[in-house]
Amino acid sequence: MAAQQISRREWVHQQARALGVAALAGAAGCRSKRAPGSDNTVMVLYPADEWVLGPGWDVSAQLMVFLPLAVTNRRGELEGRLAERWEHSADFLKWTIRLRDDIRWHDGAPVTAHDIKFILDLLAHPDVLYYSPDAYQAKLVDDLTYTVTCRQYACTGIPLDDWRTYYPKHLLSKLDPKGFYRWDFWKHPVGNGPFRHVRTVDRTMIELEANPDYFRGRPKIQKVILKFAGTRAVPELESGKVDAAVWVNRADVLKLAGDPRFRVYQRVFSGRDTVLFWNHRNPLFAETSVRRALTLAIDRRELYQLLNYPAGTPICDASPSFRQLTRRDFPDPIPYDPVSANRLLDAAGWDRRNQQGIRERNGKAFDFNLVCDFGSSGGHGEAAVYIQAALKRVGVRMNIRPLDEADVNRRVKDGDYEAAIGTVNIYGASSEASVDGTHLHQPFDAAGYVNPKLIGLFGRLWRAVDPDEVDRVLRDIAALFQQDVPVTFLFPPVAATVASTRIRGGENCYGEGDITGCMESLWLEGAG
Amino acid sequence: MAWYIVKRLLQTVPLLVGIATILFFVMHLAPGDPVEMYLRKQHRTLVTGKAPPSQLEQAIRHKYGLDRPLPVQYGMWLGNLARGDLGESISNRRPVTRLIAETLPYTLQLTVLALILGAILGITMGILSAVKQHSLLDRAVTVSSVTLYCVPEFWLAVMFILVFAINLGWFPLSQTRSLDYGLLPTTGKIADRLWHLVLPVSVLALSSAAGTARYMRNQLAGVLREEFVTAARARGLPESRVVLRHALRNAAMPIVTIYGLQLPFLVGGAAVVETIFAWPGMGAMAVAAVGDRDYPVIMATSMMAALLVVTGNLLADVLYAVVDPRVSLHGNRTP
Repeated sequence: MAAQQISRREWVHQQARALGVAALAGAAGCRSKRAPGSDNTVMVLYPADEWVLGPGWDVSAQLMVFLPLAVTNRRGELEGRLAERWEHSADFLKWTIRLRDDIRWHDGAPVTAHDIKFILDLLAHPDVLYYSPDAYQAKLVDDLTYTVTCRQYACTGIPLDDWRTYYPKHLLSKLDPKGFYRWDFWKHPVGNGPFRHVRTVDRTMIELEANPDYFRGRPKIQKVILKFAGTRAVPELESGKVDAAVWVNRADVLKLAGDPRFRVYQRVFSGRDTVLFWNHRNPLFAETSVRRALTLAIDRRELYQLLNYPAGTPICDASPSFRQLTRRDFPDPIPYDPVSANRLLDAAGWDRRNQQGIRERNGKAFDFNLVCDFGSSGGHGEAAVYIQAALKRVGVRMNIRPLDEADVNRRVKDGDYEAAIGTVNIYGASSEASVDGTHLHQPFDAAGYVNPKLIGLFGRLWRAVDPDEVDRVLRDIAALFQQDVPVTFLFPPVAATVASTRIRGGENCYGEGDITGCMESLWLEGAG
Repeated sequence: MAWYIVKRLLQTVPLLVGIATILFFVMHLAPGDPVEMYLRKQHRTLVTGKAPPSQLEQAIRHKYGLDRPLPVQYGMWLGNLARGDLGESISNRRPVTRLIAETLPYTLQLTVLALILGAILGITMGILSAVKQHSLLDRAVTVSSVTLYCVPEFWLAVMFILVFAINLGWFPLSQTRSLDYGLLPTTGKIADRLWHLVLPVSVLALSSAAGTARYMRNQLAGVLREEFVTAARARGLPESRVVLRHALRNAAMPIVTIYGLQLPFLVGGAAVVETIFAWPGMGAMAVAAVGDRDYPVIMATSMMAALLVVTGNLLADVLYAVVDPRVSLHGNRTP
């Protein structure tokens, strides 16, 4: 048979058809073959990138690969991991730590005090600046024992930090500290934790596998995949592309909480609470009775429900410590009492109402502006709308002025607001003067709240290292805050993981806000 | 032409310095502090409740020169820029050039494909619509292009995800490749990348095509009524030749301008789509940098966009002369 002649146009058409078929076939072959949770693998939507196991990120996922010296359990007590035992001087500034002798890096080398000293020195290196340079001094005692001497109070959280992980000296000592945050090691780490690194696909995922030599026993989950696909937990979970999503925002928690396929794990933290700042320089908020009345008018329990906070989240008028949170050891809050709120406002002279039902005093309406980060994933916008309605019920008009987070922070720092929803970390000294107890914590200072007693209490708090002393000072601060109401505490920070109900064991997990922190104690229902 | 291009390139230097100056100072006027944002983002401080000591904040500020007067910071930045050093990102402590080198290819994959597809689709729709004026086809093209033009990209992206990724499961929800990408053969890898490109590129291309189609139709419809087109038809030229050779060349001027000015889109125009599809491109990086007040990254991405606007303008001017011989690059227009 004679060879068939085809025109150029026909040839182009044929090639195009062939390419199309190949692409479709390829695409069909590329469809995900794995249903999440179908084997002993957990796939987690992690809002990070391939550098997540390095020091540029401070997230629980690192605890799968690297061990800290100790972890805090649900009772607020420290449990040793790398550290076998530890002791400290009476002033808590000098720590002596003894390491376990049975922990090895994933390449087989033993974990020693040389590793820890090397990393402590590295983290405070001027080119690294993870910790303040010269904040402490680490010294070796023997291969498994070392001491850390703090040169300043700000270092006191460091020696037995339940979060800091350590890295192998034998693999890192020859690298240049200038490039610390971009060492390739962070993408292909050799750790000492319950999971070993298998592979990293840039901008896509990191795969980890159970470490059979882990000193607490091989984890039940065989493989963990951290998938880097943004923060959209709802479509990823609902379409079954992942088994769990961490750091899920409040709106998505609300959407997923009622779905029987998932379980929500939430953790309430201490510190960085969301508060309602009142500017004391503004005549509207100069009187304590008025600030108390406005606080009494807000049903904070209902606000928690609106934000889908975990049941039993405490309402506090100052930040409790983690120990106080776990022991529920804090004073009763200012209650929700609109009747008393009305009475206090009447007594303060705000007893007349205009045509819109807004209270007036000397012909001036009780009307003010509140600035807040309306796009906040922490629920600031929702809280503002709720508070606006609550205050309206007692005759106070609050106008919401949405700004971005940085602008709100700047205004809170400068006192440039009438009222503001922002965050405050009462554990965090804003300057050396505030640690010395000679200057008030900046947000309170900026709000025009002047109280020498509080200056002294904050100074004591920031110098305190004894956990009992911390709790004592916090109780005193809470009493003062209840008396003066310099701000209205709204809610503490909370982190949430939403996970398939097939993942079990999460309820016993300390780091349940981010379930990867306790992956070693989880298991999959029905997995072999 | 070469002298004209050299002259225009030399003119861009003071223009870019001016843009850089305005950008730098306006950016610093905006509220927010990059070091504070960086330290606030560290989850560790959230969990332990111990905020970083103020000495650390001061040390980081000193390292990045943020404790110096603004004009000094500007001088340092300009000096580094002249040496090709874009600085180090404050929020993730890595060199900006490296971040751009990592993210730009992802953005270009999206935007170049979207521009090409958008142009092909838009110009084709515009030509068909103009040639078949007032027909059913013209009306269909007009309605669909106006609708697509009005619909915001983010909405279209969400709808595409809902329909094609979640309900039908034809395409992936997000990311640039499958998790088992490394295990695929070369053809499978290519197909996998194309499969992940379909939804984001379609969203960008459709949005771009809608505008192009409208411009093309209106311009071509006007040209088709001109006397030289009638003359060409009277000489017995085939309609396809009249439209594609004679009318289209005259109608293409505004399209050239549009595409010249769309050059900056190549690096930053896909920010919304990148964010929605978790596409690790430069647009998404720039959006994150603005939130973090990461000055070195904001300056680098803004300057790239400025450079492309200037280049796009120059390119459009040069293309005018290529498309329309009546245009002279020396300021004369031949009749």
